Amino acid sequence: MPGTPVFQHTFAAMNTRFTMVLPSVAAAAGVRLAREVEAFVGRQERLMSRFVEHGAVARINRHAGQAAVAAGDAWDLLLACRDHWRRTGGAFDIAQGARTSGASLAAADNGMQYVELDDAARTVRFASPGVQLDLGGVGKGIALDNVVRRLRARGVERAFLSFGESSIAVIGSHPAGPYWPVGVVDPACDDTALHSFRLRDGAMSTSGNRTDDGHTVDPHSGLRRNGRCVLSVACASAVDAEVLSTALLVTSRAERARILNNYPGAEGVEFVCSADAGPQGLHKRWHDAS
Amino acid sequence: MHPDVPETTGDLAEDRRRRRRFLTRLAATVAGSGVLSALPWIAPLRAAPLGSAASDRVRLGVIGTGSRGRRLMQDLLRTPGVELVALCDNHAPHLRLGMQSAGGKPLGFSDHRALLATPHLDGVVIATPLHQHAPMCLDALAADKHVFCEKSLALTIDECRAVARAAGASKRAFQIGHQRLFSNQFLQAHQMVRGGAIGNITQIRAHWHRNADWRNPAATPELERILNWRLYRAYSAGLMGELGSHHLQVANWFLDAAPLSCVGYGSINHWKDGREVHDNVNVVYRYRDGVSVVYDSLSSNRFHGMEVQIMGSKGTIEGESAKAYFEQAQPAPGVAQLVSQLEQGGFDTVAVAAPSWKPELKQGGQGLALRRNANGDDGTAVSLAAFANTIRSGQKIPQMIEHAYRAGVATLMGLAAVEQGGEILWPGNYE
Repeated sequence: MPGTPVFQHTFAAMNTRFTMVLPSVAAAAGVRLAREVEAFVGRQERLMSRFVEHGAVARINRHAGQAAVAAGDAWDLLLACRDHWRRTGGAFDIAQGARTSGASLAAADNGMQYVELDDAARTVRFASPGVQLDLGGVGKGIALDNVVRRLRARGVERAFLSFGESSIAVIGSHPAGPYWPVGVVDPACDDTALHSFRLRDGAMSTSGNRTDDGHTVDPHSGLRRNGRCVLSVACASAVDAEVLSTALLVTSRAERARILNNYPGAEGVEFVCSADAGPQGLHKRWHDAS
Repeated sequence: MHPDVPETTGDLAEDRRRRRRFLTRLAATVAGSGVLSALPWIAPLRAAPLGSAASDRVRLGVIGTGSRGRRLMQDLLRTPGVELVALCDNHAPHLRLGMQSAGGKPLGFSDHRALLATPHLDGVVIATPLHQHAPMCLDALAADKHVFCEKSLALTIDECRAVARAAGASKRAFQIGHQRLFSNQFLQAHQMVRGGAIGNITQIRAHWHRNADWRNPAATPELERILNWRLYRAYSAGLMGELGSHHLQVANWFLDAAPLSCVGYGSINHWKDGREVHDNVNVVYRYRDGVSVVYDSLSSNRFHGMEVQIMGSKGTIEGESAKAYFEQAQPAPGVAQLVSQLEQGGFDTVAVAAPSWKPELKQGGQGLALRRNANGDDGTAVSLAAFANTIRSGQKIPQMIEHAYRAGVATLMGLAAVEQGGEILWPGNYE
């Protein structure tokens, strides 16, 4: 009903912010859900962050170069990430942490091919000293999908969830329409949408460079994707969307088509800087809604 | 400096139009926002538009045409309706430079009392060494003139009290050149603080660091104390007066209070050149509710530059950098827009998806940018325009004497703490 306050809660997590908007939830219930979600996301961060000293991933990064390490709660994540690595032809790779942190961009001694997972013992070992795991982006997608499951289990039928605006998931539809219309921000004009996705019980992820210097690395070439650009992918799960927005950013048009074959129902769109559109302008270079 | 506005074109009508456009742009940046215009000292900027009647003209004299006085003249010459009719400086070369920049039109004086006798003079702008502020302000108020005086108020607390009392008793406007009161970024910051954006202020930190000897070349020994008056205690309150007063005024304004007391330490540890004022000062002020203001100024290191940080439990505002940083995560602008749309029953695309947001930490160099004045003005041009409009409208700007007195006295309390040691207490209000 117009005029009714909508519950919103934003908190800091994973070096960014998590926002939950719950349009059909009363304030008191919203506060309870927000507390639960904030605590849960905190636990997810401890599990997945390479910066949380006692977290599972940080522990693996410290010791797996010397000997096999019990993966603990991170086991399922590692299997899932290896699966995405395969489905993207290696374009999505959580095992190039040392490379993205600038140690050696061109080094060929890191990547998922050097991560040995022992299914029986549930251990992980790095077969190369250059390997470091970094679940930064995909970690947000994993946490977001888990939050969606928890909120559904609590009976939430509508929600808009944003993890740093790079990962967005929705439950149900917008109260006033059949879907959530979610726009991709034009970096040159913050309140303008470059493209609008229609999300219903779905998710999307956005990668790109706000400036000419990029941070996403092509695992095959070791080169960074530079130049101002925005690439967004919408699909059913936030993890898949995160994987795809990262992988497609560093792959060619032909490779993108092959990767998307492994993720039915995904829609992607890319905008790049264009000299024609002026120094600030971005134009649509690629759109796949197959 | 306003390089986009030429001094004159030789065409009076065109000059008037240029002046009008210039001030309109300046004032629009401050007064254009509905919320900001609620601030009382902005009211004179919204006075009725200027006509061409003689009564619309404001006839001003400038006392002190050294570097700061001539800088103020640049703004005055571009302020609509302002006519510079008289200039005064007891140092002949400075008077000559002033007359040159005013196109030789005003009358020239070496004694400010003679300037005050100029017929039809409405007010004066005083930009002289600190020890001359009180006698000149008192003379000008006694002559029934409107007074704009450069900061800080006066050289002693007794003088501050005397000038504030005289200004309070006068029907004329009195304004000290605390230009941050007229700077968009500080006005927006003040509005944010009042709205609770950074929580309760728990501390204000300010510093002004330079690496320079603060000297003007003096060709002969007798010019030393005229050109380098800032270095000699009989004329100057040193770094506290020339620099500290700016940020102490901001602190008093944002805390809406005067300091209860202060302690401090200073020395001459680098520029041992015969100067009498400290080349570094370090003062901690105590305000009500246990809030502190920490101020220091150096002349031997410029690494930290100049800043005033207003710090609360929810965030920090850096006034000089015009940035706000929040301790707690705020929703993205798109999310706020979405919530508003949901509350109003709307259904439309909201631009929100973007590469991952990073927190607004100081080290990240991000932060929410505050609006600045147009044309690179630090508030000085707007403050002079406000002074002129005050004279024209007869509408006094509220709280100007309080700002002047509190900042002037806080400055001198800091100086006393540094020079005498011990805890220096607030000496009381002027009334």
